[in-house]
Amino acid sequence: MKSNSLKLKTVEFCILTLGTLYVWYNFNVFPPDFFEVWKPISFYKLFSRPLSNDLLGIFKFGWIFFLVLAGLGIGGYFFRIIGAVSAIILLGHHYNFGNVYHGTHVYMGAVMILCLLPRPKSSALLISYLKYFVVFVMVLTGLQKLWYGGGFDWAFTDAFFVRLASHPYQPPVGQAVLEGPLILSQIFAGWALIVAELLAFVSLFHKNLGRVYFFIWSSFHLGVTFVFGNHFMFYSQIFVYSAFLGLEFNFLLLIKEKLESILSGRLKTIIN
Amino acid sequence: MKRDRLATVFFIFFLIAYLFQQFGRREDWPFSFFGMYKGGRFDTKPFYRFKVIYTDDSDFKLNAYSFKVDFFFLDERIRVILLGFKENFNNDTLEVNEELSKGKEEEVKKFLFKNVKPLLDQQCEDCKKGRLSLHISYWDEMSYRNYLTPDRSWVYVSVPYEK
Repeated sequence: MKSNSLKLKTVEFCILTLGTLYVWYNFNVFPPDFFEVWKPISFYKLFSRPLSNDLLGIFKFGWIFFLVLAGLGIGGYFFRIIGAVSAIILLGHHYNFGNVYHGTHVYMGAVMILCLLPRPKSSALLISYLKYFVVFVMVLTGLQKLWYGGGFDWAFTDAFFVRLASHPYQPPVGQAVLEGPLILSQIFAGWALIVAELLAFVSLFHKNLGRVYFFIWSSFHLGVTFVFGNHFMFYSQIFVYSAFLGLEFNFLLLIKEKLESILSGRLKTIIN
Repeated sequence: MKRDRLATVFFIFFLIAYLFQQFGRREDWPFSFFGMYKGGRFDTKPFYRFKVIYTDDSDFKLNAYSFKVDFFFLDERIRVILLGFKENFNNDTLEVNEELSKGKEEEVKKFLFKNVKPLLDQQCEDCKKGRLSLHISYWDEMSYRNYLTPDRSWVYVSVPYEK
């Protein structure tokens, strides 16, 4: 029971603290004239124009400050709600200018699950929700490719090659895939579609399989960067995959122990 | 225990909302906000894509991307010079001026004969007889469609081809 609680604390630290800091680090990378066109979607339709920079600054502070502290186990439910709502408003804001990104959706979903769901008494249940959510998104992404992308054509034809070829810039690895035989791009696409996405539910069968899938999904995102370039925002998902690792540590407790050991060492030195 | 059940109900509701948004593609739906964090493959910028496809009687198709570097030259020429596209800030999609593309069919046909046909002659051993076509696909803005499923796709010009 205690072990599960510690696991949840670790996952929360990874997602709410580290994940938030990572998304913040990659945030605000927009072209100069990005904010010129206001095409609101969802509840942003209630607003006639973009939110002011001052207001966005407040939401940004609310998102980072409250979620980072919540991830450290400080502040409780109140901090979580403020942080999550600020994140929803702030991270959703740039979706209203004609572009739809999907780099932070898993991070955002995990934040919603951790912060906005009624808190279950069982820590293991909350970790399971995160796992189900990740698997759900992965399998759904694979099914979407099958549904809209012409079935398994994505893996067994030149669909991936065409997508890569039409990309404006290819890093060296992407260039090598283009210049290599077609089977190379089919392996890349097949690995992503079949192993990383459609078979993602396998990660739920055993904790070791979950750990293996942590590396499969992480390498999948790294591979996308190597082949297509950029896509750094997708790394925010890796923090959510940490739910599959089963790590146990309390960051605050670690700091406390470290400080105590340093202080006691100093004291001993002083006494001696 | 009661709280656990409530959390489970909310969680299932969350997943269903996510699922409906992904497949429903309803931009104006109240749950579209969940869809903003979608894991699908969508493009919402208006742009065209070009394919120069050779089709013979048995529906054999050659994808012009097989020409690699040469195709990018053709692609750029067709987009920028013949159809009046201008590059936008992202540099990976193109703003479209549909009006400019009208009435340029003859010009495009000449361009295909002059620039694309020699490439086919040279590089495509299987291409013997059929039609050389310029396909245009259009992804509508905010349509929430997959990039492999354009909203509109048509053959802009098609010329007979024989090696």
